[in-house]
Amino acid sequence: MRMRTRLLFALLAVAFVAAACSNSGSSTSTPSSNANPGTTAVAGDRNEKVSISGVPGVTDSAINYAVVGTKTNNPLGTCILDCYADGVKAYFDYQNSEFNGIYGRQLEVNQVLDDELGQNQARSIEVISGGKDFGVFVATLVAAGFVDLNDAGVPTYNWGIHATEVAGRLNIFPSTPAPCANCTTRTGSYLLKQTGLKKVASLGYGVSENSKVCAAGRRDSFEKYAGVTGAEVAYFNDDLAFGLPNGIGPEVTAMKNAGVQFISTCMDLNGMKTLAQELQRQGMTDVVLDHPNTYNQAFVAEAGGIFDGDFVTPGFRPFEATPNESQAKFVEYMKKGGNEVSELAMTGWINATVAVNGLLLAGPSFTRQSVIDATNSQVEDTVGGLLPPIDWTRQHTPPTQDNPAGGGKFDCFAPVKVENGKFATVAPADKPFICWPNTTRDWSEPQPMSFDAN
Amino acid sequence: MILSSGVPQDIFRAILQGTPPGAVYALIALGFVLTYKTSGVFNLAFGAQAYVSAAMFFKARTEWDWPIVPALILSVFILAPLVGLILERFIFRHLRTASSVSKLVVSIGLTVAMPALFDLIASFTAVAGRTPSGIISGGNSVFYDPFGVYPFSRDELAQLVVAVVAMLGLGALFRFTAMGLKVRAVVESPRMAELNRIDANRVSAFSWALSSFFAGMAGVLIAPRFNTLVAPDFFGLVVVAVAAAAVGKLISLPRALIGGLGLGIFIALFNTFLPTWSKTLTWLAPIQDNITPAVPFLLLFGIFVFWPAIRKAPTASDPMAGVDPPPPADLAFARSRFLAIGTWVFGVVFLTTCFAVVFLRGDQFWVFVVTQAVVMSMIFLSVTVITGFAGQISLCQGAFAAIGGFTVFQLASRYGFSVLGAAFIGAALAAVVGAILALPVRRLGGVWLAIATLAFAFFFDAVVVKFSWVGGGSLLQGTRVPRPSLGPFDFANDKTFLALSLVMFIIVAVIVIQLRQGTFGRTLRAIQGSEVAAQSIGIAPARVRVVAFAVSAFIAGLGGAMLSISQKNVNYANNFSPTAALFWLVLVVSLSARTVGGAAQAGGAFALFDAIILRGAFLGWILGGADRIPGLFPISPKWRFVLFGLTAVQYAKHPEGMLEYGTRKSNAKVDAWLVRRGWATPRSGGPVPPDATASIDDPDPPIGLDPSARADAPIEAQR
Repeated sequence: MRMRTRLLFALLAVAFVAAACSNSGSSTSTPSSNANPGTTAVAGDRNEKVSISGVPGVTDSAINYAVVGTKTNNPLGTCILDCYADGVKAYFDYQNSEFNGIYGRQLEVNQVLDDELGQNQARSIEVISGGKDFGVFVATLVAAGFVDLNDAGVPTYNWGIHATEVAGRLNIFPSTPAPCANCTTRTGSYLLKQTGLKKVASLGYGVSENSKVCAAGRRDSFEKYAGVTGAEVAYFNDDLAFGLPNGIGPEVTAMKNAGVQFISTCMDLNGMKTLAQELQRQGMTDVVLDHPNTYNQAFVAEAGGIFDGDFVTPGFRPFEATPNESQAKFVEYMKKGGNEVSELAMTGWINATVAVNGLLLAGPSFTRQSVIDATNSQVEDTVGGLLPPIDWTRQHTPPTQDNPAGGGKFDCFAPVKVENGKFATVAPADKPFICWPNTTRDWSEPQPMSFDAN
Repeated sequence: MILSSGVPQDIFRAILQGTPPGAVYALIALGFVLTYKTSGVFNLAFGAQAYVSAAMFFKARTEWDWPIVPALILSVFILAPLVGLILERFIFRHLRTASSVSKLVVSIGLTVAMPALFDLIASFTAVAGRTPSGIISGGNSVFYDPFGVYPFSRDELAQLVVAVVAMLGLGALFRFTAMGLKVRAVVESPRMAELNRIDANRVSAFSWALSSFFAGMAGVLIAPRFNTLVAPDFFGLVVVAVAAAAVGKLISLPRALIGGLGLGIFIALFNTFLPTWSKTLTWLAPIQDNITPAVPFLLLFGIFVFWPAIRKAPTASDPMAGVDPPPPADLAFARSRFLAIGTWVFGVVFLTTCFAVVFLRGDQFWVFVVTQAVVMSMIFLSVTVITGFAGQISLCQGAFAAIGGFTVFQLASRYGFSVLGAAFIGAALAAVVGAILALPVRRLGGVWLAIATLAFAFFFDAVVVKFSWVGGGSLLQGTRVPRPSLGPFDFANDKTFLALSLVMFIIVAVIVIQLRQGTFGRTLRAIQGSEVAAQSIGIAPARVRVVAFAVSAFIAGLGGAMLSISQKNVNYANNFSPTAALFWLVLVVSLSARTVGGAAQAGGAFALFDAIILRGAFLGWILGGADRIPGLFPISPKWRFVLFGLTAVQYAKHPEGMLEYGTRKSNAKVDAWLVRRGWATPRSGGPVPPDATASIDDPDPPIGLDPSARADAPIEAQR
């Protein structure tokens, strides 16, 4: 009894001491940027070689980068790490072979690390402490290591699916800037208007906060622009079980009864296939789906036509658009490397482009911080016309409903439509982006655009 | 208002819509019951067995372009029974008289190891969007609509037909054939069966081949439901199907079939009517919003906790099992004083050296992984308390740890509380949840308690985590957690935080040791030894279990909080998901669940095995540089699951854990050597034999097995 009492007091004492202590403020801080908003830095002579010492990953002959991503234990079964690394390497090959690298050094992928789904933080810290890499490219499903990479001031370029983890972190450059998950957007209503359909559904998974918020945002968007489309939200469900283990029969029946003709979802590609199969089973073959994550030609071809007529939104200038110079080089160097063109490879290429542009802007006497600052000084970075203009001076912070301008100059997307198992651009192939000015969220007629000139 | 027109048709349609997934649940439930009836094993690895055959079939059909029949023969008629025979011959034959809990742990180990082993051997990787084909051509594209209400695919009809035929066939086997009778006899008691001239080994082999064949068939039939073939999906289905099997108390095939179909239909009815009703009955809206994804787990939990009959379900236990020796005493009591002191000195010097190297020379990576090791050791101490001391299998330690982590996030990040203060509040909250959870499950015990905790873990995962006041992080900040500071110490520095973690681990470890040596620990040991005997001396096992759960949950909560602080984020999916926590149990019991040292070693293995062994750091150190590490490194991380999963299968034979078992053997040798040299005096009864737990099933009992020597260990402990 005495022992128990002593233990209890000891525990309480420890607890009180703990309660009296305070929190360190360091983990939430982010390195400050001395970017110069509103200006674009002038590139230096890319062949000028300056001796650099004390910068991690930079030798006399090379600038080294690490690639970290998910390969083992990937529950989606998609090619992530290898495809992404192929894209990064292809861009480096392009730079090395056509420009002899940069600042007298070759661009090298020093190591490719599999984060095994659950080891992203360990692999990120391994890169930091190894000190052998100037920057890191990350394509992971679980971005646990972003906090450490950002705090360590490592230039980090990543697959843009982690809005929460990149928000407010100035050293991290996603392939797609952090979006506003719960803001209304005109994109879905534009597609709806194109089809002329009048009954809409919005679906999301119940186990994911992001999916729920996304589904609610889409519902609100359709309602906001109902005057333009003449459509109504006939069905809404943000409680679907992830993976749809019990199927989706009752939900599809409910949509059928509600007369749903167009379904916008915040679901993964496997869930979309289950949904499409159930629609087919219940005779709803004419229903159009708006896919968020299905820009995967092999996946769509494998599905055997069940996605025909659906819309998919890639995160960059679609492959089906009239190739611009960046796309042509991408395809050329992917083929040279013996690799297949894929969404993740293009993501790697985009990230590598941002990294090299940062080096160019920083000049031959570069450091990690100068490259970060140079990248963050760009106000209209289109990554060789592959993306709508990104304003890095403010797009590390997602826009809000009341401040759409925080999302950059334009509100753009580049949808494609599935036709006979293949993708085709919705907008003209030479101007694949459909854009609105980002000064307001009010409806206006969008313009097809291309950003090659930038 | 609810019964508007068309309701009968809606009900009929929902029944039809629930039938295909119900048939899937029924197939697995039947397999589950079959395994339990024929082997007495509560086989959570059924999903892993099903996955192996499904993946083999997929590979043969998709990669090798084999026709359906040869692929089916290879995956179901050859591979599946072969897997069953291997499991029986090398693992379960030696566990016939082991407790049901021990067998459960073994099956969890196999759940972890088998898919990874198959993937490695067959070089199998999942491919997104390649829906596995079924055993019938056009299985998922040709539909039949017999009632004009809802069409079924060929694959679904095949599932339904096989489930019904299997139920009838297996029922007939058990009821009308001599082999069925023999199978049941061997499950009841292999020893008594052998006294009746039944070749228990042969019958057992037949049982495992049959149940494994059924697992393979179920896997191939179920696979077309998944658009990507991955093992965790099969495990998830098994967890749901356990509810269906429980309807038949794990022994009734017809009830398992009805349970499976009923579960699928219930969920379909739920999803059909609840959204409609909640429009008019607003109080239903929160239930629809929050409960829908977790219906199967709620049913599972409800069946196990609130259905009294399940507690009376027969568990396979050999009436002659009592002839087996008791588990050996703790290692600390079974070695000479000389060796004990030597071990302590070596341990202190070794650990001091290791930590000195880490603190003085370790870079950020090594400080990080060592910190993870220390914090995970703290979490694993919760397994030590609930499994090692109390003898209960809890599969929801991840949920308890997550409560600690989320509390820190909510209180510290959102409300500005002190981080460490929030950690202790989180631990206390976890203890309260643990105690509340223990109240309904306290009388279950054994495998029933384990499954109830598994259901809770999945319920927590599907429902609780998404509440904004639990895991609902900010869309811009997620679940970020700050580091603490205490006076002059700013724990934002990783090495300082490692020191803090170490101090907290030592405090918790000392408390756990004190608990074990105190009244609480003795009470737990008494219950573990014999619950009836414990009750006869006035111990209330149910109350003690509640306390044990609370203590274990407190430790897990504190560890979870420290893990979140360490990683500066809760990282729930990464750290605390039910399947992740399943691996914790495997790791701890495979090494040593009874000691603080075992928890520490498990923590070390969890965090360091990958870095030191699989990634080749140790070899690089031996060879004199990382650049000299051979090209085959890093070795696939799946080997971690294979190695620790297969080590866990030794749990039934060596419940003290392989590490303690190995140490015991080497200690005995060292003791004998010391005695021969005259540096130590022989203890009464002589040295403890190396394998004091050998079963009489063991074909090669250790030389010198002396019952008096076995009894000596506890006596020594008393002294």
